[in-house]
Amino acid sequence: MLFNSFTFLFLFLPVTAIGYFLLARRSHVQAAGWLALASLTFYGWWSYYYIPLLLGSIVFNYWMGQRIGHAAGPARKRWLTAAVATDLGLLAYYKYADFFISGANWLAHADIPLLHVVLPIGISFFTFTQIAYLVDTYQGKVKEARFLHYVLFITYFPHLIAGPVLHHAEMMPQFDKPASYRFSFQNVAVGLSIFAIGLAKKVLIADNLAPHANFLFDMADIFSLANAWGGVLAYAFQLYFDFSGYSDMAIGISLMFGIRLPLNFDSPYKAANIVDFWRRWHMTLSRFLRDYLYVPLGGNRKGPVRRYVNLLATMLLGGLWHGAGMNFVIWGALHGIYLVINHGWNAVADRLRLPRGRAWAVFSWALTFAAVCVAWVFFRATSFDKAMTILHGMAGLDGIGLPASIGQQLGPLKPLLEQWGVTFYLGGGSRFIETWQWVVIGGFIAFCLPNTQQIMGRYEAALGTMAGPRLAARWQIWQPSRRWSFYIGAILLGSLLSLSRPAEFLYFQF
Amino acid sequence: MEQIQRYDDDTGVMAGAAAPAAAAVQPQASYRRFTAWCGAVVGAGVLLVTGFVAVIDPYHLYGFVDSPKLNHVKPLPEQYREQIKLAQAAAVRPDLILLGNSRVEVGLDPDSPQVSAHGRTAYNMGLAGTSLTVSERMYARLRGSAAPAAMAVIGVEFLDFLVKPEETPAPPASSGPSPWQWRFDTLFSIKSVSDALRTVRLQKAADPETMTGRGQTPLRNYNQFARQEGYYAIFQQKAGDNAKNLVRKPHNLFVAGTNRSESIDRLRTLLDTMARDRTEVHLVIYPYHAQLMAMFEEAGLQSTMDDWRQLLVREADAVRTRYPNARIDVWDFSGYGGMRCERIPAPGDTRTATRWYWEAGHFKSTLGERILQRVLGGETAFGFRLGADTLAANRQRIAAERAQCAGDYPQVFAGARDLVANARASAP
Repeated sequence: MLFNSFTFLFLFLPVTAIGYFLLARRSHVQAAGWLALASLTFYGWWSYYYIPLLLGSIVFNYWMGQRIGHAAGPARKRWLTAAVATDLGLLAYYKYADFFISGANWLAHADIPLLHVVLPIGISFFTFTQIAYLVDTYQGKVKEARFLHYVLFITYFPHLIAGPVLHHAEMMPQFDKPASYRFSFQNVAVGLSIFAIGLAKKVLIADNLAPHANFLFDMADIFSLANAWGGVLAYAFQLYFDFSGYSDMAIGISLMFGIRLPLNFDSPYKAANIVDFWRRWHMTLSRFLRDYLYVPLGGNRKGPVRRYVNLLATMLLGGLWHGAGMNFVIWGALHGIYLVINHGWNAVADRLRLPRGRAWAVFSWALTFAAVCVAWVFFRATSFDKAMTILHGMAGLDGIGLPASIGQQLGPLKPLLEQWGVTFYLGGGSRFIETWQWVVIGGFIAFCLPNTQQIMGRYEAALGTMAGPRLAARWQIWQPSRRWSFYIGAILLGSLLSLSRPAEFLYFQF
Repeated sequence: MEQIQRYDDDTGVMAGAAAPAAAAVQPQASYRRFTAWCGAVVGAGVLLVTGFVAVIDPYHLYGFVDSPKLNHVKPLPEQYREQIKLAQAAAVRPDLILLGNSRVEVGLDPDSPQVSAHGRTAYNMGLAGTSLTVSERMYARLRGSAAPAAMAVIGVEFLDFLVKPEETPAPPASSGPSPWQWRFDTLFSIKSVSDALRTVRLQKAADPETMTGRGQTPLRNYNQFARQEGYYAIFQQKAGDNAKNLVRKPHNLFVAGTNRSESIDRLRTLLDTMARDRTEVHLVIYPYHAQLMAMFEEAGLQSTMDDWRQLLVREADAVRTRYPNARIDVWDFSGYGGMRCERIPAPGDTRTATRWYWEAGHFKSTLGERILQRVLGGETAFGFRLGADTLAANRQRIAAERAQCAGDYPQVFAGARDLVANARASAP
């Protein structure tokens, strides 16, 4: 079931919420059980075949957690190793089997048939969440261990399919708090507003950018400078609005149930450098990779060289987490290299005391955004060759071509442009204009407008909400006023009008 | 957690570490009012939108108002065109239906005076970008809501019959969206609202992109492109796309080891159904422009096209054998003669207009009139009735027309050669 569907909005969500708050009057346990049941229904709507897998994984990990918690000495580590190995083995089978077989076939010139295993939706998210639980149990950090709350923590429908990647320490205590079971108009109003903003990001922006990104990556045969950049920027904004829209919706829905989810995005395309970018993009995954991969690898405690190696390894595996393909590995490697360069540059700049004025900040932001876009090409392209073709175009090596219909409108400028090497090709005028129209809209919103948590700055709607820069204009700050009810109502109406063909969220594939 | 936070934060943030935002103290009633107002805005908006779309009626579905200043001319629907056409056709109850792809949808005018002169009511069920699979499906659905048509003109597309020998026959046609879904979406969606607004704007447009109440999409908006860029640009752009398509096409008509393919199967079913309904059928081979015919030739498809003509004749004969009362004519409007060798205006010429073609694949209604004239029994030399005994004569006709066109207009053949060669060179 998609958040952006009539079934979810007008059937699943109201029935679940009414049942939850009615049951909560009688018993918090029953309400939590109802929410867990509803979450399994939500998951089963996609594919009920995998409900036993999800439940099996939950029971297994909870049981292993108990074993780890009650064991002493080396046995604790043995239980932990067995549990994590099983989780990773399951993930490897469902997500990476064909990737490994293809690799083995390529290396050994063999012909082992592929398994074509269907990826259970959300497996990456619920596996990682539970590995974190096991590791923390091993480290003695787990305080709350009621089975029902554990089930709810894993299956909780707002996050189950595509995150945020939750941490038991921030979620399970909330399921224990009486306040979480009390209906609150404040939670509904704030949650509904955040949900509406997220829904609009998805259906009014991301879904309108999608055809233009898809055209470049799947259908185009012209990769001149403006075409290549137009399609790549369309994808960059599509991915951002799609995923951050999903995260906003998840946070908003969850808040209506009195549960706060962690923040997942903080205007990543405003990042001044790549380190900053990773503080703002898919923040809960970054946190997971840092705490459960980078730090255990040694972090920065073993000298600068080892630090860079750890960074590279973390980002490579982070890339592989997104999917079983070399394109994701290359994407991760690129970000690893970017981070290493960023840290190296910082060290040099500090030592030489280089000035960092406003011009430098703008240059740094532009370079960061361009580098992120270059990496997105590998993330989205269906093959390495296609990615290189697009990068070739982005570098201007396929020339600077514009649609002839645009050339017709340029008047005396056209021959001048032709002298400078600009060529004009037949067809594609509407596509070109629409692509750039949507890119400009996406860019304006991403770069110039406040993000959801800034708009909702008067409320701690999500865990980890940043104390960001104050908004200059009061009208940008949400409050339960009639004016804002018109804004949110209008956004909701526009979004409802766009639900006729609900499109899946990009991050569902991971 | 504290232990972790002591390490650096090279890769990300630690949630929960932010300073708390200023708590907003507002009475619960204000949030209740906010939620109620939101609901009211959405509710009022839904009523407003559905009312507006129903009154403007961009898809000819309701007919509450028909005003030349407001909504008489309708836009070309980009979604649910099949369903919209079926609903319109069911309302019109045509006794002459026009089936095929965009060539029929654009070129055959169901409002033609010739049609009414023969006492017929026609509907154009042609649908751009579709094959006989969709034609068959649409016809089957129309039969479910209206009496079978007395006459059908079915455009058959040569390129749709080309299959890879290893291709397996396709599964049954998909059922499409549910009736409530397309009805809902054509009333309440961003597309229906934008089409309703477009309808209001179209009333003053000189060359609107429209679909008529009888299902034709006459491409009047191409007049505007022609004035801005010239017909040469339109021909050349489409020819480039056609060339890329043609060099990828297989040269076979049948799946290996069978006498079948998806298009052949659908054609047989359609013809059998119409024979049972006693519908008079006219199978029409489209009048491709000489440029496109020359490109078929350059792509090595000429002999396959000839085999295909024979196939159509055999299939028509087979239906007549199965249903002795069946009335089926196969018409070949393809070739190089006369109108089909129409000169393409020179590059940069934005004044000269073509008379017969929008571009090499799509003929104008002027040429469509000649087709209708022929199939409705008018006296004209245009169009050749194909039968087992006339295939050889038809080949000779085409060869003679080709020689004549090549002599009069050699550039069209040279251009086609270049286009196909370029497409081959850039093919992956």
